[in-house]
Amino acid sequence: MPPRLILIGADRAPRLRALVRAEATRRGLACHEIPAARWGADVLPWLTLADGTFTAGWIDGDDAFEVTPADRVWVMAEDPLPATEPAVDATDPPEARGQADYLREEAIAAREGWHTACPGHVINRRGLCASAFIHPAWRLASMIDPGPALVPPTLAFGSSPGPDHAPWPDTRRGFERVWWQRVRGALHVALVTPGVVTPGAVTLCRWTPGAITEPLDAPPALTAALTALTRRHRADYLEVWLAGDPLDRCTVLDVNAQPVAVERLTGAAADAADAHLGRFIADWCLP
Amino acid sequence: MILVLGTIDEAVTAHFLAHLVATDQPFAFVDERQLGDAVRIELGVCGDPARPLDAIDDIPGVTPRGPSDAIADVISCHMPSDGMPDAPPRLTGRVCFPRWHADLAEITGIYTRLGTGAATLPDTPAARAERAHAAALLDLFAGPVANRATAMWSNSSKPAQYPAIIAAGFRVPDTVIAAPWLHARPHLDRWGAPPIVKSTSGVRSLVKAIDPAALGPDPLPPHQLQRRIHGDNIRVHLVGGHTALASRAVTDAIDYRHPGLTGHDTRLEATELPPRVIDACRRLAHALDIGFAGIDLVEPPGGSPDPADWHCFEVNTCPGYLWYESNAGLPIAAALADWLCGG
Repeated sequence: MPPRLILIGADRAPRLRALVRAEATRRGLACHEIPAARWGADVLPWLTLADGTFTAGWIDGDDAFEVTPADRVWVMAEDPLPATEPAVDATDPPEARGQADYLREEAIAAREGWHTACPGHVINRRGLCASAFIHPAWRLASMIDPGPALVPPTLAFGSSPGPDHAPWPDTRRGFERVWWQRVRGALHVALVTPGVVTPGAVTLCRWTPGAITEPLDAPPALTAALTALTRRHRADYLEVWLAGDPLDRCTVLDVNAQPVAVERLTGAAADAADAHLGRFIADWCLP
Repeated sequence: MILVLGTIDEAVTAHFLAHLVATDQPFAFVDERQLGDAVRIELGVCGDPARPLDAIDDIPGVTPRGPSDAIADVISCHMPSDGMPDAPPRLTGRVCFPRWHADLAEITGIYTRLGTGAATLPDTPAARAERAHAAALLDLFAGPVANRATAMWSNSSKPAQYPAIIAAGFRVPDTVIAAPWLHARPHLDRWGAPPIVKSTSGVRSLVKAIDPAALGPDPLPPHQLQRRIHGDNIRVHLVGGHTALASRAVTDAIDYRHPGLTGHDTRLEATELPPRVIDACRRLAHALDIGFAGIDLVEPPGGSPDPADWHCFEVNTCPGYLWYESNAGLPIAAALADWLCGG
């Protein structure tokens, strides 16, 4: 049975979706999509374990699907789970709210277990044991060992250290007093796929306000450092925001395992990314 | 000095503090309710060693050690400034109390029970920020930490731990989670005895046997159904990734932790583990980055030196060890303190 391409949340990454669907069409492979908003809401993951072997799939209405070990799976985006039944509001007794909270925890845990254990050839396997998904970006960035091509950011937690520091661009609650030291040099974004043979493992683009249009040749030292960083976090695809001079040394500002920056590329940068990721997806689809 | 984070009226936290007092070990304690109010945590992570920041010695209004700089209300760091990096990023900082501070350089290890107490925590921006800083400290501190904030998340999904448990060499009971009957029925038929139901998440549930006919229509709820495993329940507290302190639950109860609810008695007694089983526990804790783990095992009837004959249910990443220490006589707090003070 030929593998299927199973995409979860591809509706949030139309560029990648188009690349994957083009490859599926070229190879005559079936492509099954689950929108981000439905995953875990009305499309429900299931999981079994027997004699140490996992099987997994999903239930969509009256239909049940199973992921085979040959299938290709990429969870590009997912949404927070909606409120569970029984519906609760402020007038409900505490025990009803407690039951709803419990069921929601159970549903989240089932989804995380699915991500961690489902069979298939998974791009960026996520879940609660995948560092690229559970660590905040500042921790991923600060875990980098300083090297000749790549250094972690200088961070401060507490009061503002001064005008050379800016708030860490993380909008989650509790991160209002995290600061990073501004770095001289241009802003860049790198799309990193260590599975692609170097030097083609990195698409490096210079960021200008409003668009990411200018692709650059990634120097070998920077390519090596970025692919090592991505492998360290056991990711197949990573987006890394950098500041500095790629020919000298760059500071890592953000690390993201979900395809976000790639969707913002335009012009020549988009063409370069399409060529790079087209090779990556073709390799992924190989038997 | 050991840094302890928690709430003073939470039993395990109080027990550990009492142990430190009784053994005259230096410590600093942060009550979680004081974070953002009387207590704050300031940290600096120096990224680029070629661009060191100026060092700051004092914080105004906090330390009595002398004059302070106008920009001193921040922690910075010293790094080699020879232009070439020769060390990983270095974390510096301090935990600031109203009249003194504990510099991170004085702290040998950290024990956290944050989030385990029943106390209502303040929801102010300052409190949320300080809790985030505490999580950052747990993640970035170079010395021993029981346990790192992000590593503890794996316990919020039991099936998320199963691949690591299997890779470490243990068995996991056959499991069904939320499966349609088409896929679940063959498993349940094969198990024979009524399945066990328990939570999939980290929320504690009463583990019990159920009648499959009572489960209702498709799809199954997201709880776990598992094949019942016979044998003795063994709780292993692995300290520092190395020292294994094991207790055996002698009981007929399915869930030995709640004997009163099921009308059974439970007796805990210290027990020794086969070396290969201890090694598998070490592999498992290492894989999950858990320095202080509570590993739930079932020893097969008659025993076995081979971890492949043992089942593992889960790894507790913030184990409440007090019951085991008190009833099995295991020196868990002492081992934890030894590890956290660099012993």
